[in-house]
Amino acid sequence: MIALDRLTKRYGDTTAVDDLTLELTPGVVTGFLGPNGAGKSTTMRMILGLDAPTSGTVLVDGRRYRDLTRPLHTIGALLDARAVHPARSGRDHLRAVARSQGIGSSRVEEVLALTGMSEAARRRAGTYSLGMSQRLGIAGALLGDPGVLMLDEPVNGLDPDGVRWIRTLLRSLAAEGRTVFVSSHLMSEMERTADRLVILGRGRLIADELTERLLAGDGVRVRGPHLRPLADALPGARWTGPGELTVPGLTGEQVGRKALELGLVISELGPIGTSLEDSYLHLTASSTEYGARP
Amino acid sequence: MTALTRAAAAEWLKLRTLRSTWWFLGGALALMLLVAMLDASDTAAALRAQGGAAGSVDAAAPAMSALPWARVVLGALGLLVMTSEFATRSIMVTLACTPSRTRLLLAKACVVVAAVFAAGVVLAALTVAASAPLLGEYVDLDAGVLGGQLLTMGAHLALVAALALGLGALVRRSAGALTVLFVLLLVLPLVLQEAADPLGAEFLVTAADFTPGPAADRFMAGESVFGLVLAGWAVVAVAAGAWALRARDA
Repeated sequence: MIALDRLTKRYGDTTAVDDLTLELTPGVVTGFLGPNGAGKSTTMRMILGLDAPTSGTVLVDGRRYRDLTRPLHTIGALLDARAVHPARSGRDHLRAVARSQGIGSSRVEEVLALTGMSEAARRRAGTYSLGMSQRLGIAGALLGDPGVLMLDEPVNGLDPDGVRWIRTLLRSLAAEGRTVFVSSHLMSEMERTADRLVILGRGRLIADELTERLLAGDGVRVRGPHLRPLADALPGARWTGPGELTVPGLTGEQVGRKALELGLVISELGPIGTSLEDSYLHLTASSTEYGARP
Repeated sequence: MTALTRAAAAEWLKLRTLRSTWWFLGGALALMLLVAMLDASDTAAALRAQGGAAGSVDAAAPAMSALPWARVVLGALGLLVMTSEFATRSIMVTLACTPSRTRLLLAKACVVVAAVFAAGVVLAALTVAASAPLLGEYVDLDAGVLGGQLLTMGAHLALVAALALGLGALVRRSAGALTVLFVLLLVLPLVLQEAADPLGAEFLVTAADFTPGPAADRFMAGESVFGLVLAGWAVVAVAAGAWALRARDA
């Protein structure tokens, strides 16, 4: 569990994170979305105690990060996969991390196997591809078998196999009752992975919703051979294709009943699903720091 | 294990698993051997020309004359223990593992002091072994005295490395920290000595002796009180580094 309370970070005149209050709960994958410069990484750095908040507090399992005696047993994090000394081997990197937490070398081999890095572990980290670095970072985050996992853009640089592997891993970690907090700019990925979505724009909380609710569109789409009477009977209905009507503000059942009343044949009837990308762009439209102007 | 010993164990593993550590030690040894052996043969030649007395040169003297070189190399090693963390951004992982800045720097200082002390004694012993025979009949060898000198040389290098580590934490960038180290070791005493005459301030000459470079030299010459001066510099640098690590975002 991670609790942010009125968390704020200012650099001179710019406010990177603005009065963010958030509680990240166990058992779910929480996706952290936002355009570049929205303050996602700064928030994560403050959770780890790397940056000090200008005001507000962050607690991990009820304690400040710096008060955790062996922090990796409480929270495992991957903020920057490339933040590894390039001349040290992956295995030695993990061993050093393990030593600092009083974790034995056998656990290092376990997480290496789990992340598919056993083979590459003897090579210097500087020779790794981005995908391998991500795997090494995830291995480090899992080292202490923590109840909270926090990953910044973990699918960056992974091939499709790796992306699926991460998705399965995150889902199963949450299913085990852990708190999983993962940022990404890949909305389609978050759509499939996260149960809950937290969207940040210019450091402010824009949305905090269950993924399914954020994706639920407004209204229904109906198809059939002769829908003109239906279009005339339903005020807001508009044609969105040949033989296709979109009806906002009504449920499928309501539209179905109307069609039955009118004795019309319907070939298709269903809710409009918005893609997360659409909702996301809509929500962040006003807060994109470097948005393209028409 | 306490939190400090866990952090120190991790730092020791990090130090020994970098090939560059061993290159630094090899480089320091090569430099010391070269300078000490040249010094020994020059000294012997000069004594021969002047008809000097047998047993008139301390066995460790050539090695000591080479020490200022090793001081710079091992200082750079100590400095990199901190600055490389910032250069590679691995400081993020390090601080996630050991959130207390003071504890982290203390752990690094313990490891650097212990490792450089041990390596320094070995380097000094090897250098004496290679250079003393070149003094021929002029060598004055006393095992007890030599033992003490080897320990002093190791301690001296360890303290300079700790000083450099503190500077690394304070400055963060390798080039910047190295510049500050140079200024502190070499430039500052010169400036103080040069300024003393025109300013008519004799005390500046005395002050120059208390800067790290000259203090290290006098410590080597057997004035153990200057060992405390050098240790004081190391403590101040590490304390300043810890303060800077706490005050600034990583």
